[in-house]
Amino acid sequence: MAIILRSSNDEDFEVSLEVANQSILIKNLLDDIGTTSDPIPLPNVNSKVLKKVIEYCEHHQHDPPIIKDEYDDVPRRSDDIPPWDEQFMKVDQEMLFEILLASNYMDIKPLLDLGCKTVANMIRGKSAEEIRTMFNIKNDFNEEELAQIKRENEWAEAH
Amino acid sequence: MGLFDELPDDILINILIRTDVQTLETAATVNRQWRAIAEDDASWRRTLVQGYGHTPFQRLDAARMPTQNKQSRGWICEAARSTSWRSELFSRHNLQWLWTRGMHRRHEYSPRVGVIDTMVVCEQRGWALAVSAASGAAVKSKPLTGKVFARDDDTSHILFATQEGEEASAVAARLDRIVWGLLDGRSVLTLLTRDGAQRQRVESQALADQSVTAVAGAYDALARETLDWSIAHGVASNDLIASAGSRGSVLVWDTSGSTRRELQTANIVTLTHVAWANNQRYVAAASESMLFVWDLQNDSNRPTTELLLENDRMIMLAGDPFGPSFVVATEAGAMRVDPAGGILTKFSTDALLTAALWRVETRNIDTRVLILGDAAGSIRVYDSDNGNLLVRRDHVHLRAIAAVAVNAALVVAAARDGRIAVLDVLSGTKLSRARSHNGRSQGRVDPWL
Repeated sequence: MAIILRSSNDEDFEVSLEVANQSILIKNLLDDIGTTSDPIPLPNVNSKVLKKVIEYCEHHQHDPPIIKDEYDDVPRRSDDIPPWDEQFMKVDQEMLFEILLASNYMDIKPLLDLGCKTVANMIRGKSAEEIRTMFNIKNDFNEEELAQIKRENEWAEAH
Repeated sequence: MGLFDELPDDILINILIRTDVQTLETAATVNRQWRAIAEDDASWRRTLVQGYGHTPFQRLDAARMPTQNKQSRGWICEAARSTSWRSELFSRHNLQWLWTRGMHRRHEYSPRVGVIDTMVVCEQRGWALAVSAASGAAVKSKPLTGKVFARDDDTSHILFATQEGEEASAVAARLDRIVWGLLDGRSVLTLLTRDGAQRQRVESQALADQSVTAVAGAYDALARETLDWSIAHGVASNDLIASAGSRGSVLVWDTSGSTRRELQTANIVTLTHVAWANNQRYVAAASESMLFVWDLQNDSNRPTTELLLENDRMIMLAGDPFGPSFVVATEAGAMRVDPAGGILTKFSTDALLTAALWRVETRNIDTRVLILGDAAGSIRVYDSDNGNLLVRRDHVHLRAIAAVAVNAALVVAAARDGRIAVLDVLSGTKLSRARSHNGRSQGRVDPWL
């Protein structure tokens, strides 16, 4: 049984039910309305990103199901990314950001976690300025807040 | 504006939770959004409570935690440096990570002491004391490694034993002291030192014509909270011990061996359990079918309350050192009662109860948890104030649970066959079972081999 996913720019992608069900958003939808041959619109995800998300879901469609109470108490670490996933996440900053948003919206927890782990690895051990540069984040502190941060840093260094 | 200026808060939390405390300190200086998330301790507390399903009932604290290796010590020290929930969360994650990766390799072992009646876990060094009345012996071991403290000969792993010819029929243990109730009616208090050598021995008067069937100590509450092997400790003159006998008497004696009171029930019954509550004010004792409570502010040696119990075998009787309530656990279930016999909370069970422990924690966080072990080898942890089930783990052992102990990080459960299993206290996960990234079990991973 094939499911058709329609991206924000009206491009259709045909995927298997197993692949589609990895998105809890789609799985819940299909549980409610039954399997359908009508395209499922994903207005928040463009073709480029959807293609990437489907690539991930197709690769992981045969993963064993996660047993909830066993998995939940596994600590959140970021140094256990398998090689295929690591290669998969070698994308530009814009795509990384879009994957985070899409996996959050489509409720694909393993992909969201992978994206968050990837970002966590990128910022670990970096300075605030390096993080801002890496992700093009604007420093929006006012002078008062900057002075406060400076005082805290001096205190931390002195102790 | 860069894209990452528009990152939703929950995704940013998901990212930051995977870093470490140093990175969080840096993150707090990136921009306003990052600062708000990194600094908002309430959100870290929420994250922790969501992750585990409940608030920890005891905060992590370096002074009370095992210091197994440099890595975990560093993480735990982070928790101790501050009382923030953020460090608590990160430290627990890191500890669990260490444990699930098998850094602490053993999670089940035998301390070779026979039937274990009671257990205590040292908060500071993480070792456990397993005590057997029938063997008249106590054995020290490390739950995280399974190491049993042994010296040269075969019996040297026994930390303390009763003297030749003494037969113990009851036992109560605290980290530094064990009270043994003897068949001849006497009770013996033994104090242990850090190296396990016996330091002091105090004998009580004998209960006339009866053997001691249950013992309990009411120790200074403050000393109990600050117990630390690095500072000298010994008996406080205001420590009291109650020894209950086979013909319905309860002897209250102090740590110099002098008798303070001899309490009597009206019936000649065997008292199988005894406990203290509300800082030495109330003594409760139970026979097969009755619960008796004495208010020691009352001059009469007769019980102030008598409560008829269902005819179920009694598993545990425990008192709150800081307040007027007791927990009574029988094979059929457990309940919290006040000294007048009023039922405050009830706890149900699926299988027959075989072990129970009531843990009252007042440091940093005010919680009272009841841990129940049953004949099917399952462990359940309840909040005893409201009866909510916090943690449930089935098949911890294949046999009935015989004794349980707990600290901020671990639940240690002994089975009837004398083996010990170690669980993470918040999730109930059996420690040292390694898992790969996708949740599949990889079997044991042992970096020390």
